[in-house]
Amino acid sequence: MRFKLWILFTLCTFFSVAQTENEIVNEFIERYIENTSDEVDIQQFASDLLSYIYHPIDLNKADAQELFAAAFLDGFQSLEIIEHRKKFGNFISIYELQVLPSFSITDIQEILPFVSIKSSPIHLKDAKKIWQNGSHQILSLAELITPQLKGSLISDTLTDRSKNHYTGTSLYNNLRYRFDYKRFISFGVNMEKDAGEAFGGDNNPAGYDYYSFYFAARDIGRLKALNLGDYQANFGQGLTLSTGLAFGKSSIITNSKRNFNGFGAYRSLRENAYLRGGALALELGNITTGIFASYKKVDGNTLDEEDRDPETPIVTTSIQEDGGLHRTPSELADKDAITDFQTGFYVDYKLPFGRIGTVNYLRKLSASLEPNEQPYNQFNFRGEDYFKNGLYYDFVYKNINVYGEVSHSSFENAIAQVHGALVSLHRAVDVSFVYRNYDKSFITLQSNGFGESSNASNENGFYSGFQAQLSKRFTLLGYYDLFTSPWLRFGADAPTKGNDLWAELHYKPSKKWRAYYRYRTETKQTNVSGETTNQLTNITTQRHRLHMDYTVKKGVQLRNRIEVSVVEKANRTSFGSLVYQDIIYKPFGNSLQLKGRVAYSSIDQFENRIYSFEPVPLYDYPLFTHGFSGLRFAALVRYKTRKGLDFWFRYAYTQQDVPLNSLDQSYTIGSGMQEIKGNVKQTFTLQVRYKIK
Amino acid sequence: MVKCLLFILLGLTTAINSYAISPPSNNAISLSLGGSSATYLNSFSIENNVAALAFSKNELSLNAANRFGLSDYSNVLLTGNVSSKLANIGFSYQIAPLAHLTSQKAQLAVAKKLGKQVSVGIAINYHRLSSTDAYYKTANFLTFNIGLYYAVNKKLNVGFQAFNPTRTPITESPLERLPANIRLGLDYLLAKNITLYSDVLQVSEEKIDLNAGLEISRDKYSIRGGFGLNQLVAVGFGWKADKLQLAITGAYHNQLGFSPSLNVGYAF
Repeated sequence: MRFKLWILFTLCTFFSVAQTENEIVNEFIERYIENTSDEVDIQQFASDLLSYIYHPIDLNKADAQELFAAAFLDGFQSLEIIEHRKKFGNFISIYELQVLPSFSITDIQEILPFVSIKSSPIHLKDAKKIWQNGSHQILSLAELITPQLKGSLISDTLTDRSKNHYTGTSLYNNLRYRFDYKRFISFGVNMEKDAGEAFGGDNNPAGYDYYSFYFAARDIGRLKALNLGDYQANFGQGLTLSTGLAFGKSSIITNSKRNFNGFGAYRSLRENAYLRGGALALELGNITTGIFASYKKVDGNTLDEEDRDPETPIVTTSIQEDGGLHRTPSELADKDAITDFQTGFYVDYKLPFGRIGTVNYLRKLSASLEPNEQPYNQFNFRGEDYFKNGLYYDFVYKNINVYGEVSHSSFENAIAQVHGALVSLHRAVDVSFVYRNYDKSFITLQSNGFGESSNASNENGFYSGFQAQLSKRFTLLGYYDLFTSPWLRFGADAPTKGNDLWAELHYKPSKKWRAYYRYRTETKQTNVSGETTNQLTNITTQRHRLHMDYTVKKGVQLRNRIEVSVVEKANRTSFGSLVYQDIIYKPFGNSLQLKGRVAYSSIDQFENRIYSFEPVPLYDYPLFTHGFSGLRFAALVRYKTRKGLDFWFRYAYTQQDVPLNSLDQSYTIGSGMQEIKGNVKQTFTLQVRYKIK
Repeated sequence: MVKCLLFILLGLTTAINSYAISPPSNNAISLSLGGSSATYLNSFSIENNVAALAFSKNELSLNAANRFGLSDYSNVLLTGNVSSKLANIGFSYQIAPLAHLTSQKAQLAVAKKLGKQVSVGIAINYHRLSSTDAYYKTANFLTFNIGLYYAVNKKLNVGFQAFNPTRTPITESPLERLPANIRLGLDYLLAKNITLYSDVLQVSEEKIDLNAGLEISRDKYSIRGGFGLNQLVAVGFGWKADKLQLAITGAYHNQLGFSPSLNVGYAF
């Protein structure tokens, strides 16, 4: 029987279609990004996916934690792989996955680049071999916006340098180097200068504004992880410690579960969203334990020294865990204003049916965090130091995965907890449930709890999602989420409640074309001005999307989308719409690719904005916000040489509709220092990558 | 699939419950389908979706239309489509002869098939506005439209067109621009003789508009009916002999009134 299956699986491999790594990664990113409303760390996500392409995961050896952490497998697929291995032993071919209900042949083809059924050997004793067998990449991206941003224009003409202005040009540039030896050893350097930041000179004497170095070793004997330089730490369900970004609610219902995997290399360009120092984790039988220490400087809005009483501690109204923009004198004044020390440990115990673990850490800042006094942030963390302790679990029993985390933070002894389940009810029906309860005083710094907002604070809710294969051609999926905020929020002067419904019907009659219709409606409560005080009102946002994707023939693909958003607030209704046409053309196989889009949007107000995923170079941020009425055109050319050189060139053109009563000359795009004169904005992007092996 | 399409149309109709101001249909068939025209194959495609010309037959057609019984809104349009080995060539000329502001438009188009299922097209349009009492006096300007048409399978066709995406200025002072419009449409063969047409039309500075219509054909005769969210309901009738084609449509707007339209076509 197995031999027959082997023949079948071998034949199947002839039908697999080769794609470039850029395409594979971008397709996955698109699928995830297009389905979530939260900000996502594209660079980190793309880097992680690329690591799997270079060094595929071994389906026969990967444990439950590794399988769940693999973004290209959904939770139900991981469950079935684990169960299949228990019953029948190792996979003899990747195409054996076909016998699992949650894998179609298309699914298998999609994950082919990321998986294998045997691991390649490690040559750790010979450092020369590691160097020779590893892969090197140098990558650089430059992006220029025209016309110039107001901040840079002011800078050109300014005589009084104390006034607010950009200290650098409108050019964005980054430079990266990366070395990988399989999935075991990697190191790299990342450098970045944002548009408006100075390169060199008094403001950035080191050249680039941001430098990052990392070294990471993992899964070598008992060494689970060794990280030096910049690294990330993510545990459990992200309540106690999670330095990265995580996916929010989406139609991919398994995203409701965090699949964090401890310490990892930090390859992103998000400034400050990392730990800096060292981390070590060892695997001792069923116990994995790790320690870490981090010392870095973060941006903060500290009060001027002259205003401060020397007896009192330095006070900051905020610390920046992201952003890292140092363009103006005031932004530069906030740069590295606060020192940040953190240390902690975790213990993870592997059980026959899952794992259970604890993570604990303390953090000490050089300034006391004192947010502005507002009723909504009355219970927010205030102080110089805090600690958090968390207990998490992740159990698998047959087709059920139960997981959760309970976390305690020292400020007000607040507790946050989240518990969830992924259940495969039937070959064609999967469901997901998540309950969360986040105290209003829980410290949200370095937390990524699942919920309406990414802050694990001031929220209770229950989420239920499902996906059902109605027939060979039709799939229905969606979720319903109910949530409340027991205390005030920004923009809501009373406790609020809301609900969120998402439903998608997918139709895929053939390999050549597919279509889906998506409906989402979300109701929240927000302030409206009353006669004496603000009052709450419901704001309901409905979104309809019809998307079609059609492969004409090998190398030619067409896509269309219509999306409408309707926002009802205080008896007023506003509309937004987007129509676009995509063309993807590969005239010479994978060596040359052309992607183009023409889009037109009509947006009444910013609340009606519509997001779309645009063609961009690898690692670049692809989500474009249609928050205006007008035309958008974007084109991407990718050329790949045989000698490991890749070029990406992108041109994007935005033309906003000028109201009839306005003159072109007085119209502007954007605001503040980001303002551009006129109604046209053009962006030129060039990326070059040189890869050895 | 049919139920899905109707469900989606219903969903979008519910969502787009505003009244958009869309350009009027340029021929009797399109009007009878509520304005849907991105995938209808005839020589009028030069304006509705220029790429569809590549799949259209050789013909010369004339349309005469009036809107709401107002002489200023009378329009005559002559279109032609000629196929060659290299590509299809389309041309048109239209004029509003009775209007105070006389508008004329001449179009020249090229459409080419790329394989059996896809075609692309581009049209260059010359516009002339002239009036003795409006501030336009005389305005001459060029615009273009580009289109894409593809046959997904035997039942489903999709069309996309961007008309004047750069919003060409009509006058410099005060600055006034001709609106852009983006049309995305499909047709689906519901049954042997019944085809559903639907377009989404996005005009700059206007709400998105949705049109839909059905065409029932038997032998030489066709009956069409459609609606547009722009408060439009239309019914039309078509007849064709070997080479001659006629189509007549009456459309009703619940505030502005009745609009007739007539097509006469000759296929060669």
